[in-house]
Amino acid sequence: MDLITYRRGLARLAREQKEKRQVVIDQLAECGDRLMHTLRVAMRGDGVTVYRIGYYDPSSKVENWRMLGELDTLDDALAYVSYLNGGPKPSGPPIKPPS
Amino acid sequence: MIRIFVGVGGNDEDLEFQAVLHYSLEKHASEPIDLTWMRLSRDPSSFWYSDPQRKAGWRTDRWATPFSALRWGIPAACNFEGKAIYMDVDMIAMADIADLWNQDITNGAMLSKPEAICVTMYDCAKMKKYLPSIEKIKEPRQYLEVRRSVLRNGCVQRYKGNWNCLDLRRDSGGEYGDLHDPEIKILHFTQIPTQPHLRHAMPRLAKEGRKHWYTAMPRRDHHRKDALEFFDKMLDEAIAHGYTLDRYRNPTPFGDYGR
Repeated sequence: MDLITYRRGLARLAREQKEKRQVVIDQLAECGDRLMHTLRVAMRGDGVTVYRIGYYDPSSKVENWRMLGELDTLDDALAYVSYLNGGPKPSGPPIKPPS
Repeated sequence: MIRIFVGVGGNDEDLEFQAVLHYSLEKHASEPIDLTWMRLSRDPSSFWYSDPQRKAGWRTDRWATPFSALRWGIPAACNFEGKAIYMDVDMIAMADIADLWNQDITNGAMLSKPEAICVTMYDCAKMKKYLPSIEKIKEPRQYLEVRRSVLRNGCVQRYKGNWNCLDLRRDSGGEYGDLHDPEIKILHFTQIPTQPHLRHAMPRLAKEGRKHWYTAMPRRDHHRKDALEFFDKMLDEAIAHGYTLDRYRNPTPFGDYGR
């Protein structure tokens, strides 16, 4: 990947990040969730976009920001956030450890 | 959120079992899982800090594995709040771990099999009164000391179901004929020389110029061919679903355990 493509990719990710975060915040607000889940759009080293999901655990002495894993599509990631909030287990691919 | 802590070596020795265990847990779970790999770290700010050469942090002297006593640190790692499950890495989940997570701890502070505590669920707050301080737990020889103490003090309540099936043995004697017997909730390959991942891990480590932490006896095949085949099938399935070995590598390998 050349530098210009990489920078364009990052700019696109920043836009997506903002939009998707709002989707998640809206969804969490609907669920009245007290856990602070995060969904981050990230670009892997090979240029592929992935969706990483974590949450904040104030009691952990190991790491407060707990990375649960990543999914390849936004729909799968949103389905997983819904699962975290008490929804049904997604029928799609299981969450993978972060790459 | 089901909190699970799994002890592993710090030098990528058991990546194959990490992938299989993680995938099998996720495959069967009906509730989300937060999995923590417990491995020794050279970082002084890490909860798992150890420097055997300077005799600092976790002291692994006399432990059977480079992670044996880390399990006693789990309640402190959770700030003595909530519940947490400990399990060894050499396991395959055959059932929904939520069925263990949702069992009540009414008598004591931990659910386990008293004769084999390789799968345990802690009530972290209640454990505080049964455990020495975290600094004491880190001292040499504390794995067995603490184990004796918790067993003697009666804080272990037996779970419902066989959540630690040792090499396909039945608790009542004999062996399961079918490894998919519904009584088996977690299949544990407890005898290290016959663990099925070693057939893959040892050649991989050799290629990487490294060795497995276990050197006491030579590797040999498990006596149950169906168990070997099942492990290989699960490894293929895990990798196909994105649970690839590189995802489990320690970004900062521990190095010499000093053992």
